[in-house]
Amino acid sequence: MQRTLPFSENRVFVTGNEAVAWAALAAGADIMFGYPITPQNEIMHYWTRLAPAYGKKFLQTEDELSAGFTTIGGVLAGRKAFSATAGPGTVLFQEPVTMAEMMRIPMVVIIQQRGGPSTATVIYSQQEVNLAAFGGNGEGWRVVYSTANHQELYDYTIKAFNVAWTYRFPVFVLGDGYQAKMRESLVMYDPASRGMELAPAEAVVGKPGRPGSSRPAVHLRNAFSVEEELYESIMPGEEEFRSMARRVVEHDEEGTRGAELVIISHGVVSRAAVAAIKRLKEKGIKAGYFRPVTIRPFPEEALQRAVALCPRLLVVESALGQLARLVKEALFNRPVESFDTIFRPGVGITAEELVEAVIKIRQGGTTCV
Amino acid sequence: MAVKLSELTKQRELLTGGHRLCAGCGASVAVRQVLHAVPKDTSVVTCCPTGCLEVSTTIYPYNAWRTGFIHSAFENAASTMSGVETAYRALKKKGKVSGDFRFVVFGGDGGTYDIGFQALSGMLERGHRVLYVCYNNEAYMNTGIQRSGATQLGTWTTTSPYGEQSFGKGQNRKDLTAIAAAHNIPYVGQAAVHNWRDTFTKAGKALQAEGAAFLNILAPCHRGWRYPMEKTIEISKMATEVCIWPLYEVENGKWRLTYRVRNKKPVRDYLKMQGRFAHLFRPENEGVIEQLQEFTDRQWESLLERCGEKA
Repeated sequence: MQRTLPFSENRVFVTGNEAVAWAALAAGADIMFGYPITPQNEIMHYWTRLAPAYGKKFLQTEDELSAGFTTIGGVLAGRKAFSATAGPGTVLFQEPVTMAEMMRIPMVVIIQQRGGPSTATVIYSQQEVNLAAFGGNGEGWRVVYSTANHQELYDYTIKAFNVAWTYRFPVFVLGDGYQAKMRESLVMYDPASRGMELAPAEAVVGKPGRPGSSRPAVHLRNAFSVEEELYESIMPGEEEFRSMARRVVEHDEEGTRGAELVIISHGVVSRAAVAAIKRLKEKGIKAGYFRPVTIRPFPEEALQRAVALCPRLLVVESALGQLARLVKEALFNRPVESFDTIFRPGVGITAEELVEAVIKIRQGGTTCV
Repeated sequence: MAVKLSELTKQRELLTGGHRLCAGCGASVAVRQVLHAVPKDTSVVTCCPTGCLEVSTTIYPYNAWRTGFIHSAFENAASTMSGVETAYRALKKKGKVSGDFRFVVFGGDGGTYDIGFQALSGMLERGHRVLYVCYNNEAYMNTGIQRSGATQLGTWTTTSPYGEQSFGKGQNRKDLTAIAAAHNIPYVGQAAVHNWRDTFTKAGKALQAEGAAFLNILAPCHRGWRYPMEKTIEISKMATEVCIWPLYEVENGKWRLTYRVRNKKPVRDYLKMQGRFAHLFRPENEGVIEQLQEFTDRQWESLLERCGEKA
């Protein structure tokens, strides 16, 4: 049985789902718990084919609630467990993910966003931002990485495992159906060959000895008797989340300095934004681009700095203002007139459309819906 | 109830042609056989959870259903229909709705055996007058052939692949028909698409039942089972002949075989017709077929006993 990756660096041309399966393997994942839903199915398919050769496991459950809770069970037993889902599946994942938040259990879930609400489309959207960041009954103690390309799907899947097992918060990798199904080139690598250390997993149950006498007892709570008891647990948890947030928050920007307009987007849409600002530059228009890589925690300070001197902002997303809500919260003191938006729930956005929109805005028009 | 096929062909189809299910798909055959049993002057409301049947019969702006039709989410068709039926009863009581209605759910095995199981059990226990039909093709075909609780031992699927470490699915299927019967509802039947008369008769009884009814209909899928598309009916028939899918009913607690197998054939004869079992005939997977045979025999013997067929 082969135990190590068959490469240290390997340029490949694969689908996003295949990239995720390899990245999970590279990140040292032990087991995947999954349930069929398009467009993430192939993560399970690739994983089930890869897993046996590397001594890894797979278990298909009867629904996403079960996939989430079996993942938690695997983690409590000391395994690096993960899952993948989409759309209505992400809705069902909220129950296990909030339990992971409350009990501070590391957990990695890949979301390949599809259209919503409900069954909607199996294809694409950016409508799972609210759900990924704040979907549960709680305070949104999750880390959400929004990826834009296959290299990032690979990089951030590995990172997700490390962040989850370092800080013990659930981590979502937020891709989408386009990234899931499209083929693209990327470099897959063995994290060790790049000097990356993988955070170790630790068992909570099933350890030798007797808890409380021969080894320290672990008490992870999910239920509280009185209000104050809960409050006293939430507040230090929030403090730890904020402290972690400062260390994991990430963003990307280009050409924001001196820009007359900054396009704010995330995920795959930001590729259109990057292409658009290049084309605008050729036309002599100075536009910049800003992209939160972590949707949660949101790079509020970086965004404030990047757009402080910029008179106009264009928020673009394949949803009806889910990113814009976070942006407006971060820039709460800006005049409303400085925002333009392109909201296309469930539909892709091209560079050509953005170039056209920016030209229209410069001519005194607006793109707001 | 003597019915002639020639008469059925003249009946108006409640699931029309032009839908986009595959040629040779067992699901549409199952649906049409059930809906033919709807009494005249009775209206039908149908509901599908997400699945091949729903996707392929309701591609916007078309709809192949000549019934009131609800697409529900994946886990909750039985709940949705429970709500419809409850409202119907209330309206009927108040005299706000006239005419006779029947309510039929058509769910695949993923939406019935697995994610929809809780909703189904609730519906059966509460005793809504709804007929729940599972068109059972023994895997999640709509999302790309993943194993389900209905998948037989040793089956290849995309999430139970075979190779050095695996011979395919590692577990036996669950016996959902018997589980439904354990709810002590008026009518439960197990049918298959090759025996139209049997399915039609069972659907008729199920629709007449004064309470919840459940039909589990084997509906072979050539894409997932890997056989030539014209063999759907033949394979369904063989499933019954090898007793891996016996035809029976449980009417008011009374178990009865509705088709007596005269010459029980080995399971092997059924398996070798399908690509999803081809790997079981390789030397490295020796013994799996025997395990499946043993499981089938055990289930069959137990069924014979329940049906009073054993001396």
